[in-house]
Amino acid sequence: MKKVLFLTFLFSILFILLTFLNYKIEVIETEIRDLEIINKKLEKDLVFYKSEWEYINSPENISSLSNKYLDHKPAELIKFQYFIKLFSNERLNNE
Amino acid sequence: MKDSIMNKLFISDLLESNKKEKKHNKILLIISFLIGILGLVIMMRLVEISFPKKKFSMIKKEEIKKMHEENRGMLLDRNNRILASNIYIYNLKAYPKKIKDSVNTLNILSNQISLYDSTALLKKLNNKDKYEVLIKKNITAPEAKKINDLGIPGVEFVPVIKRFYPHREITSHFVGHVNGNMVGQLGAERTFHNRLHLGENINLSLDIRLQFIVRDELQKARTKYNSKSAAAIIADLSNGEILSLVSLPDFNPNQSINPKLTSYTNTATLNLYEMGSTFKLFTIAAAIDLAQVDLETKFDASKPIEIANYKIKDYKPQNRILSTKEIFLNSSNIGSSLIALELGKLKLKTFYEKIGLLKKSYINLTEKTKPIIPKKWGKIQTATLSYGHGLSVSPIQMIEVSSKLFNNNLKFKTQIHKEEEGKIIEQKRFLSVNTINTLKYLMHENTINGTAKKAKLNGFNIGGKTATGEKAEKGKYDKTKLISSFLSIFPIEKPKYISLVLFDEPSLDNVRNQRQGATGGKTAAPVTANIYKRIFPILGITKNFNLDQELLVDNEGEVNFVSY
Repeated sequence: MKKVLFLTFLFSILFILLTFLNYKIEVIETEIRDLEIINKKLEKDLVFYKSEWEYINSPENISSLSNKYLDHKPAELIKFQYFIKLFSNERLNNE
Repeated sequence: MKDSIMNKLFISDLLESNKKEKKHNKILLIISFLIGILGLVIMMRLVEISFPKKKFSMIKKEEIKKMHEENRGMLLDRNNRILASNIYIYNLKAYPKKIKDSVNTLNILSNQISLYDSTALLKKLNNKDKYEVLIKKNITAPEAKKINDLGIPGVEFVPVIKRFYPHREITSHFVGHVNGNMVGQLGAERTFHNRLHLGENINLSLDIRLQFIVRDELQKARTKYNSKSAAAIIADLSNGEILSLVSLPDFNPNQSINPKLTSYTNTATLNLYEMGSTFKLFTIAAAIDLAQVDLETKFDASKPIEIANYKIKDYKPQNRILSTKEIFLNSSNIGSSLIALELGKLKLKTFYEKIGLLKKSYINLTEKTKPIIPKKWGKIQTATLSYGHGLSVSPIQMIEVSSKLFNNNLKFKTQIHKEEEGKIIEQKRFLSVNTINTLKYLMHENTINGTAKKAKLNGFNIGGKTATGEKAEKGKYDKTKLISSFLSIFPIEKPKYISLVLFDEPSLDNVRNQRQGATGGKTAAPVTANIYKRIFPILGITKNFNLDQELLVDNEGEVNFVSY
């Protein structure tokens, strides 16, 4: 009889604990859900910024910007007289 | 006597203790009953809690599925650069009932954004029976924020998810686009619709850096040669990945699209062309592999050959006996026809069939077409097909078939997605090592002493074959309407990449009568060289420093130096 009573008591305690845990899980799950929503929103924002960056950083834009603001050109063959001119200009500048 | 008294006392004590025990038991029974009830209540509560939770998790799964549907996966290039993504854009709506001064509202708005028809809008805003009026679609987030900060009463922004293509025209045909319901309509968007629909991001084989360069050079050349359309493809010979695919004219997938326009057609995979001389590569490959000829075998190309009232001539007649090597380097149609006739119709047809020239390309794009093959295959077809007339294929098929030769793999397939690392590619060898080496030698020699001299790059070893096909109209070939192309492989020592540049009806100097001279060697070959100059550093192909003396080159009689 005592064993039955003890077991009943133990189960009751366990059930109370389980109910408490269940409640806690529900609270945490709600928090996770909220965080997931925030996360999704942030991910969307991130995708937007990444896409914007991709657009700004596209080879086409970089090429047009460097052509506009920098005097960088791909290596190319030049004629002999221009090659000589390079030295004469440099000499003039030095003088 | 004494014993009997002791016995009575003991019995009465026993009875009393029994009574007490019974009383305790009753109390314990009541307590256990109460605890049992409490346990039952808790159990019921547990069940109660667990049921709605299950219901909730089911809703959550549906929500997730819906979210996936809304969040179409991104398309990325081989280096994880975004090619297609989802962004929020805003539609500006107004509620006439809430607007007190519609003229002032429109004035404030027109200072911030351009309005299509202000008079019509004003009329709509003054109509108080209307619940809402759409003022403008597709407003970007910064613009929307600016207007929102003004706090205009009666106007509201509605966010809408839109597919965004940051590289616009550059990737139009390769990446494709979606319709209003986010369903893939063209290119990779269509091929991978089901996976993208579930929110999966997909890495395509495209390299945006190469794609930009190829398009840039092709666009410049298309304007220069005033060609109807142009296409260029670069593929990895080891696994069939397409690194760049450009079709011109193209379109901006971010704007509204009209599929009826020619710019919508993917020239590289849909258009069929009688390619011309690049087919000599297949004819010679078949003849050498079947040991019918070698590089020194002689053929009489001193005069045009006539088969069934059809005269086969050369573009630049050599009027002499030519070896197989010379036939390739001079791109002799007569010589090629003679090789094909020597080989025989059956062997040539079987070889063409084997390498997949008579079938559709394997590329995993929906936009592709079957080749147009001759209805009957007689002596004349054997001759003309040997130099690429009478059989129409798409540029992508040309790449796929040629790759089979240089990769020596009949199972070679082109693909638009990036291959998983370490994946074993199916192999089926079909050519002898001698045949492949001979083909590589011929391709390389052609850029030095053949028709592809303009594709030669100092310090780099490439190989290629030019082609100039005439368009057939009303049963006749038109010499003024050419298909000029250049097929090449690099580096020649151990080919890793293959490319094809093609122009549809090019002309030199934008003059009509210059169309006849706009051959593959004069148009597609120099464009390929320009592309290579820019992409080799990206692909890690280094200059061969043993060729240092070539830094000084003779260009039209003038000595040139290299400037960096």
